Amino acid sequence: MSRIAVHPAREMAALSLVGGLDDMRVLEVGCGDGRLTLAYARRTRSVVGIDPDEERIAEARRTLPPDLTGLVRFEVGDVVELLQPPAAFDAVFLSHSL
Amino acid sequence: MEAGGVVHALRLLHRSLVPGGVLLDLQPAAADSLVLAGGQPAGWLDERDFQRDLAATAEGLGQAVAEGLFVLEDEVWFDIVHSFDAGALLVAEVSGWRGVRVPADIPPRLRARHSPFEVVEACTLRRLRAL
Repeated sequence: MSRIAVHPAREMAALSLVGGLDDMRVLEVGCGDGRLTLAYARRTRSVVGIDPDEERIAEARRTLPPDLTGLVRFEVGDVVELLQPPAAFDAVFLSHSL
Repeated sequence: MEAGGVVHALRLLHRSLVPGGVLLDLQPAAADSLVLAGGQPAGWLDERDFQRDLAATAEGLGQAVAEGLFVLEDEVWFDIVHSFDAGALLVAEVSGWRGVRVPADIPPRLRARHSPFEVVEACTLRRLRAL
């Protein structure tokens, strides 16, 4: 079976260099299949990951570990149709998404 | 997305943030990605169309900063390495990336070489603060 791999170590190192997302309520825009989300989510207070690709969000939900189900939520959508209350997040993480 | 669309999106995101909240922007850098096969260079992807999108994003981000929505606090550069089991898989996957083309001279080089097959994508991560 063919395989594609992108290891999040370098992105995590870069995140750390710019201050990280520890203890924050995070909105991740363009989360895709949640590959990077799952790498940093445990250090946050909560994460909402959004992406317009339904298949990739379905994959993100499938691979969400049980211990993160109360912490991370994945939704289909994009920034323009995002309906969140004002000031709902401490951080917005744009992941290849603008 | 056009620069005006980027600014509109950033206004909406600014509203979603607490005062003083953080905006982290992870983007490919304005440089073509390098293809490696067996640890040796096999060529550069043609990302001219994608670079135009990146320029619009940078323009929109600059407008949002000029409007006083955000201030740029920090920026780091790093590489993301995409690894593929097979050269054909690399070509098929990358050909589906928005605004990216695999030059015709790369697939024969991949067929002639062994794994690992990799694409090295230069990226930037910016931290902006909501004002």
